[in-house]
Amino acid sequence: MQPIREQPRGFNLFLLPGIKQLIRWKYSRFLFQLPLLILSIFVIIDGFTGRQIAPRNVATASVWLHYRGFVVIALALFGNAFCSACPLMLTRGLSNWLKKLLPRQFTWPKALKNKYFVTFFLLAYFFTYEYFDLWASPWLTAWLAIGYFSTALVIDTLFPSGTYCRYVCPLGNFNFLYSSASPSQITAVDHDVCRSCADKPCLQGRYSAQTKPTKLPLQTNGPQETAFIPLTEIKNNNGNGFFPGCETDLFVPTIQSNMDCTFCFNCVRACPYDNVALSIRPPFWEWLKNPWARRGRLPVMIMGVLLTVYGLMNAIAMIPPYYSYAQFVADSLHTDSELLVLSLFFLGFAVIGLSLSTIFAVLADLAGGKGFKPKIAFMRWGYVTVALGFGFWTAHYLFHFLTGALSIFPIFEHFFAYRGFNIDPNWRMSQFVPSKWLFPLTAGISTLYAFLASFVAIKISLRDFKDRGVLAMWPMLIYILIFAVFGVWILAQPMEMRGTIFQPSF
Amino acid sequence: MFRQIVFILLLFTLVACKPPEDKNQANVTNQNSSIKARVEVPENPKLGLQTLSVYLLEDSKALSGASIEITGDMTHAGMVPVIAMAVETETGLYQTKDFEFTMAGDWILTTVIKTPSGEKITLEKKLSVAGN
Ligand code: SF4
Ligand code: SF4
Repeated sequence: MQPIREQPRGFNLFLLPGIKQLIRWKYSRFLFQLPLLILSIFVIIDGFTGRQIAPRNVATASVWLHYRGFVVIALALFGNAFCSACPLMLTRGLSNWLKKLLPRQFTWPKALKNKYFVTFFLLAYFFTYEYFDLWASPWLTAWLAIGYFSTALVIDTLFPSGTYCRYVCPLGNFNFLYSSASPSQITAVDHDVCRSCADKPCLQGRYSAQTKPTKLPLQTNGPQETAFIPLTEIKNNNGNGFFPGCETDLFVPTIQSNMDCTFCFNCVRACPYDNVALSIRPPFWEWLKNPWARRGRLPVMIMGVLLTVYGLMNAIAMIPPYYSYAQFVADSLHTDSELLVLSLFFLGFAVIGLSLSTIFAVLADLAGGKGFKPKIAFMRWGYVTVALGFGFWTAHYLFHFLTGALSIFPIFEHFFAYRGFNIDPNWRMSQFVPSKWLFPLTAGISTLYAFLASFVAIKISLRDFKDRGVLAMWPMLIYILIFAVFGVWILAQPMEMRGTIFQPSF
Repeated sequence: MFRQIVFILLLFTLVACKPPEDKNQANVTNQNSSIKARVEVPENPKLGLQTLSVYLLEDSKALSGASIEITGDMTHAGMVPVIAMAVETETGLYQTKDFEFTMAGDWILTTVIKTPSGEKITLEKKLSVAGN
């Protein structure tokens, strides 16, 4: 267990009227999950049986347009709301039942207990997205949803709860990484209360009742029986029974990063002393604390940099120069294999992205007089790339969201019209803001995060290099400028929405 | 719990292994009708205004007086659809005046025809629009 550390001390959102009571209620998470569960059912039904046109199908529109738009808005303005409302975790009832049929619980292999595996998964997911044009296929999107539910079920049946979220789920890890940009975080209200708290129920869970039963459930993250805490000891009693602790192994008073926090609020419900807060913090707070040096380490930073790189690639794959260049590569190699060209692009982007971020980080360290230590430099300055990446993903996803957010109304009308109801969908309903606002808005967001990244770079250089900080910051500021200009250039290009590099997507 | 397992198994039978055929896939005619319709798009359509033509026959005779709306969607969800009416320029021939391909890439044209007798026919056509 890590030592108790400094935590943000902003306003505790749980103090808003009614929020604490709602969150501490045993079934609050189910309430949050219900809307996305219902949406998933629509996604699967329409994806498999509906009209196979992406803009007219609930599967493609809600997954690739609305979900992604709301994810980045929630991350930027609040926190990891989508993991909090994730319906995949509703397989938990079934997986707990299936667990009982197994001869024993397996342990997740040590070699996979890091973010390399899930980074690979994320890349595979992006590759699949481009190669199979998932965004254009309601049917494949529905399969993807089924795939997520089945994988969550299998992994959490075979391995301890929380394994799927922490080590396997690409969506969750995207959210974990970019919730580093969020303005809220789980904290302990009073660290002294935590110091004197013997059982750490926020981590291990607790069982509460009037009298102690003969058999108690096992701890959330350990082999022993969970702590029994009588109801008389509970501050703001929130009911009888077992309250699980943090399935992703986070200990509340030590948290300095939203990494791995699913906003499930188990800790809030499990804490017998009502000592867990959701504190407001500046959105750059985490990037200045270097928390991944202690949890996650190098693989997390590699994931962060690669996500930034694929954020760029995801957008580049929609502009004409990409197709021209892809054609040039294909002609040069005398191939028409999209698999080959796309693989080369993915590889090329990864190598260039990781190299550039390391080169500029090393230059900054050298300018600051720290010597040539690429890994240390990469870990120190990687947060700057993460900030840039979040800005670009947000700009890109918001472009699509603002272009078509209102289409959710005719799409649902169409869902019923397609099944015989007498409804005439109004397809003119689509755009959220006028087209002419799109570029200023998206370029503005990307630039705003470039400024935030510059602020982070300046603070890191002054923190780690003292007087030489004014020298150390310059390579990073130049890096940010190059990224920002390139990003705005991409956003300024006319879009070309082709499914594949060489042929149409249908 | 048994019901949950059955539900999941049913889902798998529901999906089989290939995408469903679209009800509206015909891009030339509606087979169950005496009405034949054909949507024509310029060869190698380009960005910008394009004239789309719809030919309409009933029992092999040009059909006048229909109301025709053409909607262009891109293959990515959420892109603003282009919606235009095709007006009758000669008997049985209907053409758009203000249909604009606003972006290069893959498009799906959905043509909704309402005949004077009240029959509704929906046709679908997929095409690729080159950039400038
Ligand atoms: S259960 Fe509550 S008091 Fe105990 S360590 Fe966790 S947050 Fe602190
Ligand atoms: S239990 Fe763990 S994952 Fe859930 S909100 Fe608390 S710290 Fe985050």
